[in-house]
This record gives sequence, C-alpha cells and structure tokens, in this order.
Amino acid sequence: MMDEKERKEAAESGYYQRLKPNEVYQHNVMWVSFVFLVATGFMSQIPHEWVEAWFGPYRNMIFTIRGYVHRTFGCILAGVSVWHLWYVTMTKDGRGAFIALMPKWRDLPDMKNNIRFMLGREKHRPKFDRFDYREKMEYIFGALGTAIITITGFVLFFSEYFNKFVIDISTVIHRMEAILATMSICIWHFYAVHFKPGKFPFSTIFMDGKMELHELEEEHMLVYEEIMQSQEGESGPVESTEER
Amino acid sequence: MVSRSLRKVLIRTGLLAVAISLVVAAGMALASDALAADEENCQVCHRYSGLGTIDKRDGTERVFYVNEELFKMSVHGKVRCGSCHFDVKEIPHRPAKKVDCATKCHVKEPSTGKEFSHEVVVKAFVESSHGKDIRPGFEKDKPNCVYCHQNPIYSPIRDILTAKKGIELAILMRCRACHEDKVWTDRFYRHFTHRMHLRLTHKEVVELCASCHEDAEKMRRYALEPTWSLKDSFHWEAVKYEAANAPNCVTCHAPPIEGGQYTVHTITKLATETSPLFTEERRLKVCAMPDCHPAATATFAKGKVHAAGIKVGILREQAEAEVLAGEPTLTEEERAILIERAQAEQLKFKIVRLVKIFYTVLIGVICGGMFIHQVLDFIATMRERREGKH
Repeated sequence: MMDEKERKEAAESGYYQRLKPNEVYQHNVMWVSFVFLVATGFMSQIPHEWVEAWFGPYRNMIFTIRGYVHRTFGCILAGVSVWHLWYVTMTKDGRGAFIALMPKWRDLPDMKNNIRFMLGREKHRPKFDRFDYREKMEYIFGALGTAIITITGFVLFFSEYFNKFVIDISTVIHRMEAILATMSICIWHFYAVHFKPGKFPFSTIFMDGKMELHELEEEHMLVYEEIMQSQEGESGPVESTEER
Repeated sequence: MVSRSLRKVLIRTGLLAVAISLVVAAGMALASDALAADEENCQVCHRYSGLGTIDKRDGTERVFYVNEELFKMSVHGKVRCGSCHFDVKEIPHRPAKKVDCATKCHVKEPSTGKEFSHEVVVKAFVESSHGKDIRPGFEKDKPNCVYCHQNPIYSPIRDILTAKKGIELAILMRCRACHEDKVWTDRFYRHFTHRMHLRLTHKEVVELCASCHEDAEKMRRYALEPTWSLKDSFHWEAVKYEAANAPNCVTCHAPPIEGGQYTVHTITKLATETSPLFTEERRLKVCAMPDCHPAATATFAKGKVHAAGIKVGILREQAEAEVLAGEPTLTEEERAILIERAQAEQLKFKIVRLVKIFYTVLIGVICGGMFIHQVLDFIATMRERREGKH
C-alpha cells in the first residue's frame, strides 16, 4: 500500500514509482550478471565444431577467461541474492514489496478471468494489484531457480570437496535450471517488457522504476484507482485516462 | 593465463638451449646416419599418385604413393624404406609384408649410440590391455601401431604467444650460426620442438580412443562400458576448447606421476594392479595432479567416471559366458561383490538420468504453457489496440 505522499506525488507527476531505487539497482546488477552467466555458461555447451569455427586458435585462452567470468558473475548473482534477502527482511519498502509479491487467493480468479479474457470470453481484463499473477509467478519461481542454481553452482565451484554422484546431480540440475531460466526469461519476461505491443523496444521502468499512469491503468488498475480516489477526495472526481 | 604461457615458453626455450648445447656431441653420432631416405630408388615407382590396389580379401583400398617431400619432413624421414620393408630386395617387388615396428631400423639412437628400435615400446604394449586382452576371433579389435600413429609431419611449437609467422626461421638462424650442417640442424630443431607439444590435440586423442570405446558391442566383449558419458562431463568441455590443462584419455589412464612409469603403451584395465587408477590412493594422486585438481579430496576421487548404466548386465553376461566355457576367472563371492558395486553405481546413474528426464518434461510443460499464454496475450492485446484501448 502506498502512503498519502506517494499517491499525491504519483498523481501530480503522472508517474507511479513502481520500483524503488534500491530495487532498480538490484534488478540492474542481476540482469547484467544473468546475461554474462548465460553467455559464458552456454559457451561450454556449444558443439565442438562451433568452438573451432568461432574461436579458432584462441579457444584455449577464451575457455580460461570464460571460466573466470562465469564464476565471478555467479558470485555477483549470489551477492545480489543476499542483498535482496537483506532488503526484503530489513527494510520497510522491501517487506512491502515482498508481501505484495506473495500469492493470494484472489490471484486464482484473476488468472482464470485473464485467460478467459484472452480467449475472448470476457469483455474486460481483471483489475490487477501492484503485482499480477504473472509477475508473482516469475518472482517466486525466479527466486527458487536462483537458489537452486546458486547452490549447485557452488558445488561445482568447489567440486573437489564432493563425490562424483553429488557433482553429477549438480551438473545436470545446474544445466537444466539454466536452460529453464533462460527460456523462461526469453518467453515470459522478454515478452512482458520488450515484445508486448506498446512495450517495444523495452519498458523504461528498469532505468528509473517509474511507470506512466496510463500504463498503470492498463496493467495495475487497482493501484491506479487507489491513486485517483485519493485525488478525488482532494479535488473532486478524476476521470480515468481510458475514458478521457 | 599469460604468465603460465610465458612460463611455458621460457621453459621450452631453456630446454631448447640445453638441447642445442648437446648438438655437437649428438652430431657426431648422427653424421654417419645422414643418408637419403630414398637411396634405394623406391620413388621410381612410388612417386606416382595413382599407385595403389584394392585388397581382394576385404576390398580395402591401399595407396602406395609416397610424397617424397612430405615423407622427408616426417618423423621417419631419415629412415630408409628398406629399413622397415626389409623383405623388399628387388625392383619390381612382390607385395611387402606388414611392417613390424619392433624392427631395428639402422638409425643410431643418439643418446646411446645403439641401433634404434621401437622394440621396448612394442614389448610394453603387448603386455597392456590393448595388446593382450583381445578376445579370440576378434583380432581386428586390437589397435595396431598405425591405428594411433601415422608417421606425422614434424610441426613447430603451437602456442598462443609463439604462433606467429617467422618464429621458426628466426630460431633456426640462431642455431645455424654455430652449426654448419644446415640439414642436420634443421632436423634436430624440428625433432626437438615436435616432441615438446602433443602431436594430437586433446580432442583428437579423445576421438581416437572413442572410435573404439564408444562402440558398446565391442566394449561388451571386454566387460567394459562404453564411454558415452564423457561428452556430458566438464572434462569434455575443456577438451573442446583445447584448454591447456584439458584432460584427454591419456591424462588419467597414463598419468605423468610416480616417476613416469605409466605410458600410453602400458594402459591396462582399472581392475589390474598395474593400473594408475587401481586403488583409491592412486586415483587421488591422478585427480590431484598439479594442472588438474590439486585440492582434490579422497571423496572427490571416488565414483565411476565413465558410467553408462549397463555394467550389471555386462558382468552377468560375462559370468554366464565363463560358466558355459568352463573357465570362470572369478569366484562366486568376488563376482557378487563386483555386481553389488556395479548395482550401486547403476542406481546413481539412474537417479541422475531421472533428474534429467524430470527437468526435460518440466521445461517442456512450463515453456510450452508460457508460450501459449503469451501468444494469447499478444492476440488479446492487439485486439485491445484495435479497439483503441492501448
């Protein structure tokens, strides 16, 4: 829930502060790490013919650099996870965001109604709160996946202390989680913030955390209404941008 | 990375300097061998590229053409043809016998002055698994010398820091400043630099071994599992990139430890006492080699590296075959222990495979579901835009 000051600022500026600066920094460090991890991780999985064709005589050096870069960004991602844990437990904004991201019973009818809308069986999309069921799923499974891939990554990093079975299981899970994470980001997240009509080439929220009110109205109607109702109390009824 | 390569170059240069200082002494020994390879005039016929035949027995094409320039640059370039094909006494000649690599080839070995031969290597090889464990009736399974060695051309040092044009000639010019015999000097240089690096790349070594060891049927004859799992391992990733410390098959099965007693020609089964991987202590030494896993613990060195999930069946088949033949090589108890161990390893293999299958299904379901959801959303959003909502 926003406080009165935030509602007022949003109504006056025309922007809703969807991500707090701390969250923007966390996201940016995370996505940069993710890109490097995916690139350097899948480099080890490409066919050997490609390795020769792409890297030629420099492949030995590239393999060494690849390993260092992957481990470094793996540690950075683990660091961001710790930072995020601190944020969601020790700060008011973090606790608020975390609670808002947790699933609630109303997400089930929201999901059902949204699917019905997409299939043309409902006239309107359901009214979503600060985070809709898609964002909650992405956050929860993303956090779970990050935990799994970080643990298995550290097993592989310090493989000298584990037996072959643990290393084999960790290798399989690490690789498959990486495939799952990469595909999920490409299909789910990239669509939502890059390829969805109106978003291309990318949503600018990742830069300053700010969302325009008309976008908020389309995607998070309950928050929009909260802002507008607070203004209504002060200066009379405010029309939605859709109606305007 | 750079400091390691530099260190290697410095070591190599140092070794080269030592070698060059031995040139005067070695040159005395080699001078008497400075014979042209083709003093027997074999090139009268063998210079023609179309010279060849088709073996009537198995239809194999045999090419008898010899490129003299390439041959002279090869490791056998100074050996006369008749030194190996000693049954050829006249021209034209009858089909020559297969070459025996244990033959003395009338070249002086410069360190001892004795007549050179590969006999020592052949003797070691005959005692190895590749030499003696071939099942009767499957003699073709046995890799002979030329299966792995093909009289390679001398090649210069290949390294990221030294792989630049002109380096070879620059070094040779320094050598020639003192050593008058240009041919001898060039040859000595090439021989020395050739031996300082692997002739085959790591990947070529793996593929050479895999050409037999990935053949499940062939391996079954020797109660071995195929090495399919290698290409799922991190070892293979290093091999693909030709990492400086990449482990090829020889790295672990003939490791440079314990005074260099294990060579590629003495490779034996893991269950053999002479194998470098026979005991857990030895395995740990192999894993903990300085370029590999120097911090390896005893836990790390345990477990089956090339599991394919079929060892139990192979052991049972072997037991049945031995009982039928009336020649059991193990007691019932010994075999039971072996099968019990194999079952434990097989269970682990199955668990890993189940995890892989679970994730494959999970990825298919989740990504498929997500894709359908987003396509529907795209269609719905476009509909909204047409209606002027966005």
